[in-house]
Amino acid sequence: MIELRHVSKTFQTKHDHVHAVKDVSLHIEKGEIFGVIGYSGAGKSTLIRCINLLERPSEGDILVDGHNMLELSDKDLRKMRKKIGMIFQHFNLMRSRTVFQNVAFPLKNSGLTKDEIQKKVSELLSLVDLADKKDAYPSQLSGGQKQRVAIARALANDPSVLLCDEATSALDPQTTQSILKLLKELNQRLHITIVLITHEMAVIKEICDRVAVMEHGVVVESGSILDIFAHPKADATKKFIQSTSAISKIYEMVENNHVFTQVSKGQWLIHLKYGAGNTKEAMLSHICANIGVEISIIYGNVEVIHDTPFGDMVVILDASDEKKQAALDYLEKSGVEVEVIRYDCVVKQLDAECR
Amino acid sequence: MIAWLSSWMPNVVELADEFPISLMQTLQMLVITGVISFVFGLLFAIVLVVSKKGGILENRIIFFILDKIINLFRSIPFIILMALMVGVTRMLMHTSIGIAGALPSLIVGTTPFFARQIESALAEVDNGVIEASQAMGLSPKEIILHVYLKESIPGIARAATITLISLVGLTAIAGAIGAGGLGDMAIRYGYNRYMYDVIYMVVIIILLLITLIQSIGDFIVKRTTH
Repeated sequence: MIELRHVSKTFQTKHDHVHAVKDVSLHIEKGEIFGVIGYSGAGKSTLIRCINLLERPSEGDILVDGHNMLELSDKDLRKMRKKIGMIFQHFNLMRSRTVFQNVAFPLKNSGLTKDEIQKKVSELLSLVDLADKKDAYPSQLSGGQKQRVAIARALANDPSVLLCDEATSALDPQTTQSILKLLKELNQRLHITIVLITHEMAVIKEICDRVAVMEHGVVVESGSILDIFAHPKADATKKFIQSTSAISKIYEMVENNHVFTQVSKGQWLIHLKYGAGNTKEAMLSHICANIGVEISIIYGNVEVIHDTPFGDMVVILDASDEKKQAALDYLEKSGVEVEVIRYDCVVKQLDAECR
Repeated sequence: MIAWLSSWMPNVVELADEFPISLMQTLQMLVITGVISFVFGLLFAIVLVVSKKGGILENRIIFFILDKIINLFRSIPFIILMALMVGVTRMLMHTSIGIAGALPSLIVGTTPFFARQIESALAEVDNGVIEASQAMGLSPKEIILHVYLKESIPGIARAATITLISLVGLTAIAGAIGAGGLGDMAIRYGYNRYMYDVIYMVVIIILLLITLIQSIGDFIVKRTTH
């Protein structure tokens, strides 16, 4: 559907070159929701803007629906852009036009009659749940409503792709949720391919099928959302994943020797990472009842990504060393990743990325 | 009433017939110059905005030349511009006095100012909106007509109000070198012949004129701002 081949973008400033995107190759499938995550300055915004050539790449090729975007004439590029909808962080609606006029705007010169445009816009507005606001001006709308208008506008020409450039970054968490839900619905109902960029892992987690992690202009890791969450490899990815859970807080507490994380002789403080599927089994009670290890839970969290639960748990084990070791062996055998954070008052060398 | 007026403003009453003629001359200069310099100012402003760095039709050479020409003409004081343009005026209008003689200087003096005012109105259109229009597949022509101009109507109305008001000032200066109009009356009778009441009357008329222009401008801005 969308293919980026060795795309690079260099900006010329007065004194030097800024390599915003460096040799990025991605393949985005038809009908999927593909996320690109990175901190600001990672080049993700430049990358998404390269797809519809708002930014012309310095090197590489961009194929959308089999068309090489860089080889199109100006006229064909404009035609192609009509089939690639785009929404923005700051909505970019026209202040002088009503909601209706904003949504109808891309239909200028589309060959539709006035009645057909009327009908089309009404459909779009009810699709984004704003039928009652058609005569309002953007200044009278909330941020979430403005983004809904922008989505309706982006869909006016029945695009096969929707590009979302930080579309939820200016919205509060609740509104973000509702916009993400809408995007997911549109993806399922219209089979539209969605490419979104964000700096929030929560957004990726909520709706993306696959994700690419960007840092300093380079895609450091990409893959299905489940793989990325279960087995993150790059440091940047691990940081993003931790940003969505409180587990980094626990590690901070360990480092500061917080009273909650102190253990006495014979106790181990361990971190259990549940992968897909094994959150249901009663492993802890098995350890307790059958191996005879006492467990106190310091922290627990289960996340659901694509209907698959993932979990983190920090517990203190109290028993003889053999029993504790047996418990660890049992857990590892059951597919739980185990990390001993502290044993016998000694803090184990912490993983660098956990700090 | 007449008796009362003639005791307070004897010269005004005596010259009562000349005021409407002068007002008409001033209005003629205002309207003709206003319309022509609006058209050129708008054109230049559009060229500046689209050709500047990062504009939708970036062209550094065109931008550089136009930008410098506008600066050049803006930096010449109007009264000197009139003197400078006598030759051109004679060639174009076959006279250098009267309204016809004043128009070329007024137009050349007003257009750069108008262009700058409209340019800043157009520049206020959010870059994101322009970008969104490009992403929608609009051509540069469509973006200029349906986005830049449509979105900046309030700003352009504001620019026109300011420009017309300063144009009233220029027509008065033009009066000093024989263009006629209210400025001419104030100088000829009021200043040169000590008829101060004529100056007061001219000031009152100009004040009303400017108030009218400002009110119309404000009304348009209010109606078009959402």
